[in-house]
Amino acid sequence: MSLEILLIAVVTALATSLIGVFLVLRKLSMLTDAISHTILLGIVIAYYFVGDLNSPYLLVGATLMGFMTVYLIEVLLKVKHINEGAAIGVVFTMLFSIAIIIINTRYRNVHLDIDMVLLGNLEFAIFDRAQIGPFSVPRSLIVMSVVLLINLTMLNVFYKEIKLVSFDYALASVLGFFPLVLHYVMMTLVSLTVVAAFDAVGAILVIALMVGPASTALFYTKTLFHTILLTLGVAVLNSVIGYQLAVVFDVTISGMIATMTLLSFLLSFMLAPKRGLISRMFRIKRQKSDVAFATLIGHIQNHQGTQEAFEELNLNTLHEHLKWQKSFLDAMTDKALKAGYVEIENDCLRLTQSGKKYYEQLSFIR
Amino acid sequence: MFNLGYTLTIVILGTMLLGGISGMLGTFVVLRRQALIGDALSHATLPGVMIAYMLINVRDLEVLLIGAFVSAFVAMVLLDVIKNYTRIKFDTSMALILSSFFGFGQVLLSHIQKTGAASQAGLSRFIFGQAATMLRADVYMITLIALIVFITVMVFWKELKLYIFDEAFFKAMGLSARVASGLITVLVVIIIVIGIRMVGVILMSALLIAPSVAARQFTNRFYLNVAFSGLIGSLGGIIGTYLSATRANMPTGPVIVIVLGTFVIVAIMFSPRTGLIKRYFQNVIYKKRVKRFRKLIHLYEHPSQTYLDETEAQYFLSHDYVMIEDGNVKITRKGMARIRSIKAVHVDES
Repeated sequence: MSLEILLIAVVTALATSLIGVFLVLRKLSMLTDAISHTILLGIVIAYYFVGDLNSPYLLVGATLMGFMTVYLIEVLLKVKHINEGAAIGVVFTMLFSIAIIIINTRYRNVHLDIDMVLLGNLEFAIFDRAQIGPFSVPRSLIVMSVVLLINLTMLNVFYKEIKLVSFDYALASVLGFFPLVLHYVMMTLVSLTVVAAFDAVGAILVIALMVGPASTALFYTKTLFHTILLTLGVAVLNSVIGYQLAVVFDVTISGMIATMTLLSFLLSFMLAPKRGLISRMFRIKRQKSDVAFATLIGHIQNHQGTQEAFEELNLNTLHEHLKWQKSFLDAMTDKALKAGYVEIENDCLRLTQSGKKYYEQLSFIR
Repeated sequence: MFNLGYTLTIVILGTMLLGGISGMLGTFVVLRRQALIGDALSHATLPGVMIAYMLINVRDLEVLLIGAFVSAFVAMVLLDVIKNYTRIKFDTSMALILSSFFGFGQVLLSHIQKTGAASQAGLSRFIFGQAATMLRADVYMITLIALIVFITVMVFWKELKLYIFDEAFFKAMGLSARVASGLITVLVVIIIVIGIRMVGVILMSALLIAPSVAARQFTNRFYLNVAFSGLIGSLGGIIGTYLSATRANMPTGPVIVIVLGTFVIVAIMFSPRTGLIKRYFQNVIYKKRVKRFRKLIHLYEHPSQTYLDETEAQYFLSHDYVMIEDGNVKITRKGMARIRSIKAVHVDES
């Protein structure tokens, strides 16, 4: 039983994070947020026609509504003075409100649960089962596997095109790849994925599953292919650890997976070897000290042998000319002395031969 | 006022104030191209509410609101740090923070539920808000907060305006862009925190965005944009609340959002400056004129190469658009002015 839940979680994470890579690369994350909300209206409208909450047409309606959302946003973007965020914000809140009003006025007595769509419930996903041959399998496991397969196939077939559109939209247009068509195909895939996943994790958390692993992976990788592989790895790791923690603390599994997504992102943000915050801080500090060192050498070179040399190069007043702390100047002087670039002559600094050579190669100071 | 009854008057006052102040403030975020930050921060309030509840174990609204504020503030700082220290796009970090904070909130909620203190109903109230339960004290609080936000905006008007329109110059003046952006976001968080109770997490962003989008269609001036936006926001609050109160089972938040959305559509269609209808007719007239005057336009652009046939020449001559000089057709001053006025229609799209 519990293994099944874990399996659903992992497959969901794989399907969502795979497509998430391209959302992150193409700045479409918040568009996904919009879609994940508006599918509710798609479900409501489909329910109006079908009248059955378990009908697969509900998923079709929801996917179409995702498509509609993207279209409406594109339409608004053509109007003057409306930027992307504003267009998204206007469209999705409007469609979502219509859905809620319809539910409240027409389907008050039907069990069309808004919480179900927004929050999902991984724990209950295994009770909704379907029969495949001799095996009884949870329905959402089948749905998610199919979606994962679709996403993988589409990605394989259109890998080159999607890559081109993701990195150079203009070139893709010029080469005649119809980036707008591809954009709609992608967003339809996104809505399909969101719709399939909301059963298990809900419409709000699916965004974390989509966007989180890819943004975590981007701290480490440089090529698209590596990014995709690492993203899938991170997604699996997040869901496995999240699942285990949720079992230990007896809390909601999908919420815990989303929390793990945030944690893995923040950890990478702090600790990633080259792009992490800590290594960046060190690099910035080192660069600052390098520049200061070069400034000191340049300053000496500029004033050495001039009339004001005694004033400008005196160890007791030099820091005032450079607007440094005295202690910082001492540290820099020590560094320069150790490197053998300067020597001290009656309290004044003077460049040595090797110091002059060092100055020569500092092209940026001149 | 009309005879609305005490409760409805209270609710209308509250939504009017909330709509007005969030409409005004929304203009700042929308013009900064960060419209969706309201959405991100409002979702991010959930864990704070839960932690506040766990720590103090009272359902006192003020305490929970402080929790919401702290949690949204943490999210805001995280967003700022991620923006400044990574290459991750701002909208990606917003989506991530929004969703994972909400997930963490759900984790805490499920923990609270396990101890049997709260019900799922609490969460759906948080998501959708409940304007109808507003009390007189709530209105006082909204008034107070609206006043604080309004005064802050007025005091720093000059600085905020400069920051929004020319960040580089703002920095060059020696002012801190981080402080300015922080100030705007803190004000937004404050509005969100009180707004959630009325319209809920998801629809709060509409209150920030929609009024200013509608107002922007009518004006190019910043102060007018802010003023219109506030006006439209409070109007939306009043109309939405009234409509929802007069029909059964109508939730207030969504109705307000739909009213605001309708304002946006109306503004886009009918704005006298950029409205679609005006632009459509402008375009039709422009095409007609170009067709009628195309020879004259050609003459204007290439004075020596144009051949006019008899009837065309007759028509232009009768209107003094051309004259005949040494057997050659020449465009007159009046003709030039006419062409310029035709062209101006198309170029005039500020």
